[in-house]
Amino acid sequence: MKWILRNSLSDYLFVEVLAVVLAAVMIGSVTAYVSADSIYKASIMGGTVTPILGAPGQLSGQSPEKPPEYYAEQYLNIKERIASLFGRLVWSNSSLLSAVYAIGVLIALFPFAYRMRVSFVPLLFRERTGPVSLVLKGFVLSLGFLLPLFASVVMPLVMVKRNWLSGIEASSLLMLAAILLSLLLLLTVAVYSTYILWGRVDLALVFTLLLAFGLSGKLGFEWRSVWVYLGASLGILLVMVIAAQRRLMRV
Amino acid sequence: MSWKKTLVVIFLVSLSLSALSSAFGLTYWTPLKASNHARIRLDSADQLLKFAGVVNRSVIYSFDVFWPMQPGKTRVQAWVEGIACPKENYTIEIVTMDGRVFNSTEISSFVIERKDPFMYFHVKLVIPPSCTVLPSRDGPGVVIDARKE
Repeated sequence: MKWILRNSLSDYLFVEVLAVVLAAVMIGSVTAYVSADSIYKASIMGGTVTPILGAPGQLSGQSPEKPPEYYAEQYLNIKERIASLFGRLVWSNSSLLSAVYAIGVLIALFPFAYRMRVSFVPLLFRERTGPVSLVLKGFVLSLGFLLPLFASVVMPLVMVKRNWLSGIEASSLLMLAAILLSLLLLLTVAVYSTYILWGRVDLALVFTLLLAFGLSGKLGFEWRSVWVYLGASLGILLVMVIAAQRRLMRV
Repeated sequence: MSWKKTLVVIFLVSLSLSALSSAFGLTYWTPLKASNHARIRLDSADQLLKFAGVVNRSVIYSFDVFWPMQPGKTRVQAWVEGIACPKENYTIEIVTMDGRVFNSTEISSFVIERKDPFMYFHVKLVIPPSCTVLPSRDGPGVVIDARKE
């Protein structure tokens, strides 16, 4: 504990620690909020078998009674249905999720990117800047910062799966986790590269939010969304590499 | 100051804090209720009981109940209203979601331990032909009351 405090509070690193922790808590709690709300809605929509208007009766011997195992299996089927509805309902909040994720990524990356004091801004104004290698090293490190954010996205889903939806095939939850993680990756790449390219945090935020809203509004709850997000982040990466190459060639 | 140590610190602190916040958030923000109460009407019980008395058979009502409810230890109570049984009493059989069967006459009351935020059980009510339906506004019904302990 002592070395944690000494190491994180010495230097200016505590700002970075604070930023990443704040972002992780933000992302984790908004995912938990959406999950808690969706599981209730999914169970209302997926399990409506209670007779509201009255139960039908019959004389004994008219139809054979089913064994208790049948109802245990029926319960598993209902849970399976609720799980698939749960993924879809969580993803129906995609604009809330992507807005909070974008702001969280910005908070997590800003002190770090600011401290690196590098950008390709002089590409436009032909001024002196830091070296390109620092930018790329910073990019790799920013992916390291991404890991706790990844963990905080997956944490509520794992808790829902373990505590509330145990014993089911988790294909729907797996797809949800893949979509959310690829969204987070895209937002990280977008924030870092736009901040590096323009050197302005407001432009980076606006661009990232526009990108997130423009994509997540169109994409449904399917595997195609994951490929779109991954492709978009590769495209942004390509733009960054081209800019770095122009910078190296002193265009 | 090494980057490796910093990353480890960041990772550990944010991991534990986000685990805490998501565990707290899931229980705090869930709109699941801690208790549930329902009265399920028995359809055309009067005619069925009269007919059952003629052919000397009992009347069976069987239905499923599914409620979203907070997980935990739950006491379930079930009884029948609006039916008078002078000779032989009705029986309520409840099959819970883990396959256990609870049998009883009059008030059925038992405690189940649930892990999921759902409550699912199958109710089978057997009414012997000697019973009669009491005159009432809503007709006879099964009252089910579930409460988290």
